[in-house]
Amino acid sequence: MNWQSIRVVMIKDIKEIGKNLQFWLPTVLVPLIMAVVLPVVVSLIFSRAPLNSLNTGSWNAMFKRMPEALQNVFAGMTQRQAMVFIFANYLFKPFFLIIPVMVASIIAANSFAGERERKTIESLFYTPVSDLELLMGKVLAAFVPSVAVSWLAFAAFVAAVDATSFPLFGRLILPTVPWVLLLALLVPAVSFLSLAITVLISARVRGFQEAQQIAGALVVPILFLVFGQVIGLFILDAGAILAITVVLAVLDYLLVKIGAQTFSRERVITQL
Amino acid sequence: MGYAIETDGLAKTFAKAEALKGIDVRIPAGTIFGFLGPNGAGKTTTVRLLTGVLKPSGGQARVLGLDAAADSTEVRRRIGVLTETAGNYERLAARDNLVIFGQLYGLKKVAAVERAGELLKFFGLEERAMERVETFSTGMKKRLLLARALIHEPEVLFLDEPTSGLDPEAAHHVLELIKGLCVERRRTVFICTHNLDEAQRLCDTVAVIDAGRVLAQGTLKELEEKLWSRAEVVVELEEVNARVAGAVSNFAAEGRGIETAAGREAGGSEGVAAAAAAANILRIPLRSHEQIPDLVAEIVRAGGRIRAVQPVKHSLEEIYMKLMGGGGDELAKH
Ligand SMILES: Nc1ncnc2c1ncn2[C@@H]1O[C@H](COP(=O)(O)OP(=O)(O)O)[C@@H](O)[C@H]1O
Ligand SMILES: [Mg+2]
Repeated sequence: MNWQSIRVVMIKDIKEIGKNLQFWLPTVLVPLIMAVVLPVVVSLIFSRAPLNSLNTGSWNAMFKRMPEALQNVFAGMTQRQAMVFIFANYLFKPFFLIIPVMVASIIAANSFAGERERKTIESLFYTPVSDLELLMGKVLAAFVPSVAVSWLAFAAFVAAVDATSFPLFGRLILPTVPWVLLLALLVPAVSFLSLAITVLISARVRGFQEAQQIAGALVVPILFLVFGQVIGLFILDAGAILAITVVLAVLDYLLVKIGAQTFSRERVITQL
Repeated sequence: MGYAIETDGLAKTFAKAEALKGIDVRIPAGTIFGFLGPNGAGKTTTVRLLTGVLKPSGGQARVLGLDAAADSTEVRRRIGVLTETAGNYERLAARDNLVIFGQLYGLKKVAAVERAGELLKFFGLEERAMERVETFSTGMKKRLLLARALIHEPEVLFLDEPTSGLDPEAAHHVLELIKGLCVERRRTVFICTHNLDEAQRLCDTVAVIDAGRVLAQGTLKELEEKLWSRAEVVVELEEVNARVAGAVSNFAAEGRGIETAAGREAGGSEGVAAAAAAANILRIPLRSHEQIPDLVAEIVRAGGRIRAVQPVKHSLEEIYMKLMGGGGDELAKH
């Protein structure tokens, strides 16, 4: 295993995607909205707006549906505090899975389908870099930025929420253990799954745009997490996060096995 | 002996198509080899097999003494490749393109930057080194690809259609660069092309491939000898009189006769005696060009006054057309 080659391939892919506006728009704008703009607006509304202008009825109904353990969490909080706490700790979690899905799939679509479409991938095949090194370089090129953007977005989110909610709580409410688990375990697992699926899609489509559009469907299961929580089907607590991580890790493992066995120069070149 | 590239019955079958049907080529180290054939003949497939990017479905290829399939990584370390389907990273700067490939061939960053600088200078791209490749002309892009193929000083260079898409001037420029780079370094070069003039100027040996089969290979001279069983010379005299004609007739190989250039142009076929024709230009068949001095001596002895003597040489184009015309099947059996 030649690490210089892996690193060079990775940096090359990142440099290339960095020159693409189609990458910057979603990777900066979307996290900015999800991690800063939206939380600040929501936090300010919940902590400042007059109570009767909020739909307290539906909030009360939701509290009652919550499991006992969760109701204990809110014991001693004012309704306002509970509402801020809920959005900061639960409702926003799925958004932090949308970010890695998006970033990982855009980069992977570019560096697999895109390189094939632009007729550059064959250039790499004539170098002494092995199939596995090539694959690893390209996987890391999508994985590392995906996790890094998610973590940066989370740091911004923590700062935004704590800054706007401090007057209400008199303490910092983020980060919490489930959040840290989500960022440390689930975000990498989701990033990997998303890029691996995009690699598989890339082998079967004509180009970057098509790969990216199909990979866009990966957001759907996350929307399920968003609405599942809103209607009180489940909540993303530490247990749920760990459980989802385990499932995704198994899927990741299977995809790695398939990918490492099927990614070869010969296969890619005969599909050119 | 010192072959840089040897193949034995090299074959490749894709899902349906039989792209290569067993080819045998021998390319001596340090020579320029032209691989000629129409589109779809199997040239690119051969390059991909020789570089270990594809695995053969039959036969074997050895490059620099290594098995191209089994030792493909080591083979790729020692060869450079330029093909139409392996482009530059157009969004990156020219220099970045070279440095990245230098590093992939194992150079340290500093060494790769230095080598990239030399090559950019050599290929006249120095001033645009920091610009994105997408702003370059086709000729500049090709030169950059050539620089990239040379970044690690390869022992063998594969060039698949190196001048396709270039205007004649740019093509000429690229060819001169190739020639300069390879002849003095004694590098082995494998060029695929369907530009026959290009091949004739550049190549030491050629092979003609069609529909996955090599029809013939060798130096131009060897191919010529195989395809035309006799040599010819054109002699221009002040005057052709009976004495001269007689002498030439006697000399002409095994009585196969003589024809005038004029007669030939008018559609006359080979071997028609036309010694007494009014034209003063004779086209004389010989066993070989070695006989020319004796023929000249014979004519002079007969009192003939010679203005010019020109051995007939067949261009690569004539050779190629003759092979493609079907004459090749016979040759392939030898
Ligand atoms: N990946 C592939 N799948 C199926 N057929 C192929 C593939 N690559 C090449 N071929 C076929 O093999 C033959 C030789 O192609 P190629 O080597 O590209 O020819 P050339 O380079 O001489 O133009 C052609 O008939 C082509 O259609
Ligand atoms: Mg070709």
